[in-house]
Amino acid sequence: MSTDAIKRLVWLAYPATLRHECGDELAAGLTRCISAEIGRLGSLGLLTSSVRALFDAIQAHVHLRRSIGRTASTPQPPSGPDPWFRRLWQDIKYTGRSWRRSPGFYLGLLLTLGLGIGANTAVFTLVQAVLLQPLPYANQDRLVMIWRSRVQEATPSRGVVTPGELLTYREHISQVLDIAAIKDAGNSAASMDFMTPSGVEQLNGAVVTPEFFEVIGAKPLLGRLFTHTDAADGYTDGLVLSHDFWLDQFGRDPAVLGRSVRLTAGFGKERVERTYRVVGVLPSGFHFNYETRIQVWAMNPWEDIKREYPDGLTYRLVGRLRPAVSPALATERLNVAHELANPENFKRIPTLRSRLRLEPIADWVAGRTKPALALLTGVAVLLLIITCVTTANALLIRVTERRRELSLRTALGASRRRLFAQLITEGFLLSAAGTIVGVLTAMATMPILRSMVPATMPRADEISMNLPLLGFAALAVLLVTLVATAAPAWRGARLQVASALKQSAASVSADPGTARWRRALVGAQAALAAILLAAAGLLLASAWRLGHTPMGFEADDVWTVEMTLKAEKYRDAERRRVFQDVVRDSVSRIPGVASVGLTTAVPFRGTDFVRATFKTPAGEEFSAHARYIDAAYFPIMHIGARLGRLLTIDDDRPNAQHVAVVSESFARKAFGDANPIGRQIPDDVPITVVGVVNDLRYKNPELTPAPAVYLPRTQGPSLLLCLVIEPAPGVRDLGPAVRQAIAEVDPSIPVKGATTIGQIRRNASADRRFYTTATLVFAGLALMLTVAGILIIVARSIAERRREIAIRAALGASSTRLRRLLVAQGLLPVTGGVVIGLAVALAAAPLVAPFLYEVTPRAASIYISAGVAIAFAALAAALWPARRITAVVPASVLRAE
Amino acid sequence: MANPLPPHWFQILLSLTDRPMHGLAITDDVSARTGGRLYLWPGVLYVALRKMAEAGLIAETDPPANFVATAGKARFFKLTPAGRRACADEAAYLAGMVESAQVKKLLKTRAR
Repeated sequence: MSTDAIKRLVWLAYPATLRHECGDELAAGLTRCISAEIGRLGSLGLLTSSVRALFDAIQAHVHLRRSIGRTASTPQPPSGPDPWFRRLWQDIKYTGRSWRRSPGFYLGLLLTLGLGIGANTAVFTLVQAVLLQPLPYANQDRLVMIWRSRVQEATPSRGVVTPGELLTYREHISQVLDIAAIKDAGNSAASMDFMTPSGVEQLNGAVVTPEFFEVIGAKPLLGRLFTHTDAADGYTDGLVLSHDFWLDQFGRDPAVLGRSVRLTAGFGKERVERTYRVVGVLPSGFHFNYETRIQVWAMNPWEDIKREYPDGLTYRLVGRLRPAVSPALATERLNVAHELANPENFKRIPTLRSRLRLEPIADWVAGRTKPALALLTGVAVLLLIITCVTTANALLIRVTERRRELSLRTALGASRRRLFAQLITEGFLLSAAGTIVGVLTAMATMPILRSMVPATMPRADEISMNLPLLGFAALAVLLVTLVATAAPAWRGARLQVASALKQSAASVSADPGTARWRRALVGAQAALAAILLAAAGLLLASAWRLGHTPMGFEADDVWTVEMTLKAEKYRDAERRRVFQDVVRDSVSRIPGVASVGLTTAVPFRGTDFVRATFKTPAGEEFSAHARYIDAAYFPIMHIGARLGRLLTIDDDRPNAQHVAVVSESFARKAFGDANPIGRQIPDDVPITVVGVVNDLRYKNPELTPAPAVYLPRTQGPSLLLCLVIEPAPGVRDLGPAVRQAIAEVDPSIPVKGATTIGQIRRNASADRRFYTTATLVFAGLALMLTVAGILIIVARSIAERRREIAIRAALGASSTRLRRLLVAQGLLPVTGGVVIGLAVALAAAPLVAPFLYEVTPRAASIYISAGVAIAFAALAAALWPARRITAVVPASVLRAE
Repeated sequence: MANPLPPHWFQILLSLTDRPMHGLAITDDVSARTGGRLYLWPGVLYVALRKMAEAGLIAETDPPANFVATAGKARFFKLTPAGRRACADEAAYLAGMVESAQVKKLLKTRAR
């Protein structure tokens, strides 16, 4: 904000009469004071002087209306109605007094509000960071990802395109799109090995076409980024570093530009070491692929693309829509080009025919998280409503308690509007204070929240306190004031004067209007709590089911590492086999290692080869995972044979008979109900099935497993190698020792992902754990608040009806009967609320369905349990104040009236 | 006995005793005389000037011939006889305070 703007604002705070009368002088004086302060203190001076100026303005207002010692001859002007700010100040002071009189009550309210608002703030900061915050690209609304998908498919896929297609697109669509291509994550050219002092590190690299950064709209932090003229000018060896890489490897050295970096990429014969020159560094927070953080960027000129094998699926495509071009038009043009590039495409059946589709880049980044975040937001909002309802209830009771005081004010001349204004001011101050408490709590617990968010949530590291948060807080204050305090304020202002004054000061007055409202509010609370509890119950059941679903293997303590044999020398299958043997020996010699096994795929992570060449008895093709393992694999993973036997060391010899172990679903698909043992799988050399194992969950703990066949690794020694290492009992961290052992065999091979399978499994279910826990916590809080609400109204009801209770007791009613009467009255709204809440939850059940795992959204047992839980809690809450009913001595109560 | 004069009114009247002044000049004069203790911000100043004018202690007057207006229109004020009397009364009152302080040995008496 500029100084002039602030001066203008301050100027407006002065009394209007003064501004009209001596405007120029006032302005001159103000400018002088402010400038003097700024001269003394700099920008801080602007702040201090504006504050002092505001005080000055307030004083001016006050003095104008006060009569300062004047000579008696001057008549006093008659004072008109108080100006609004005077009344506001009065109300604020009044509120302060009434808060001081019952600090406990208002503190409780403050905490309650803080709870609801704090939870919402936390969820909001997460949603803001992941979904709302703009991405680090220019004009991201025009930026789209172009995916290869199918004409007919169950879920939209995100496939890559071939160099041949890429070149065709480029020729035909320049009018509608500026496109660029990127080879990253999973492409052999993109995983680059970098020699560091501590060994070879495999980097997540990306190779992009020259105009990539221009299309994205990125700006460098240091140096420059690639431009479309680079290739023509001959600058093809440039390297752009990510901010984190620059931090880790070069220690933020500003002189990094121009330094050379040697990177090795590619497989076998194409494996080549290149020297790059650093030309630029990207700013912190810039990411393109949020799933794999790219560390280095190299350029692939279009000339080189023309020389690539045209049919390999290689490139991700990103495009920027030209001005005034709609996504529909761009898609149409793209698909025309796509058909040109694939002349046979139209002949295929719809489920296999490929096409291109556009996806806004923000949707790709947010990915799977949108539904989970929507769930969290919904749950948090429900909690906020419950807190508002609790507050409203408490305030209603308070209003009833203050009937006498409010009626007195009315009798003394305060208009209804005045009373309402005062009560609303109180409500507003309460909401503001509650919001401050909530936001501060959320800020204070920010590090904890950040650590609870699963690592798979993109951009979660961008959670921070920023301006939109203030907007959110302001909105929260407004909402809470309206929802929680307006109704009590309204009722408070409409109290009947006479009857309130007639009642003695000591008695607790009963007001039928507010009593109805209170019951309705508690019913609403119970309904909302029921919804939350039902949702939490469903999620909890899903989590429990998932936790108890057998994965098919048992390997939580097993360590695993991953290697890719990219060097040229490993082109020979025999050398690969030898290497695998040597590495296995080397690792098994580490003290603390019980046994070592080899495989090509590790559960829930990495590549799992798929072969599509298997046939059912009817001749249909089906695909299955082909996993190459050694004899130690099954025992280490605690997988036993269902039928037949497992692979042995003898099977794992180069010239042994070709055998395989298959999974149960494979056996069923390939051989129907017949016994698969001894049957053959057609291949170059027919493979004999010797055993059947259970299906394993490999891709994702929640998906049903695909068929798999396990082959001895010597029959197809793979470039991709994973070790599974069983530690001796009590051995903790095998990572460094394993890396060391592998480095001893061949130091040029980067070793990735040294961790336990248990850890991988936990990471895979981190998302679900996160939102299940959050929903559970919120539901628990909601229940607590409902219980508190019930406590309040039952206690209140008892206090109001002491006379009636005393009379009944005097007439001989037993305390049990009295208790039952009161409890029943307290529980009636709760029961109604729970029924309505569960009905709403049942109706809205399909909303939660995507998050459930093997639990039907309308599972009766869950809903009934939720209802019962609330009923029990409500009963306990109602009984607590009612249990002291017999302590009321009838005579003394009656006499006091 | 007249009503007590608010401190900042007294200071303003004191400044105007010699010659008519405008707002900013009064502020500077008061600040210099009180050693920076009393710095009159514009809001307080102009309200005070207005009230004192209403009470008849000061009156608006024309600017002196050689005055160059630097920041818009500047109003000049002069002391009225009533104002001079009020200022003198207050000064006498304060002098009485000083005497009491001297009697109580808080202030050194001036050598006669």
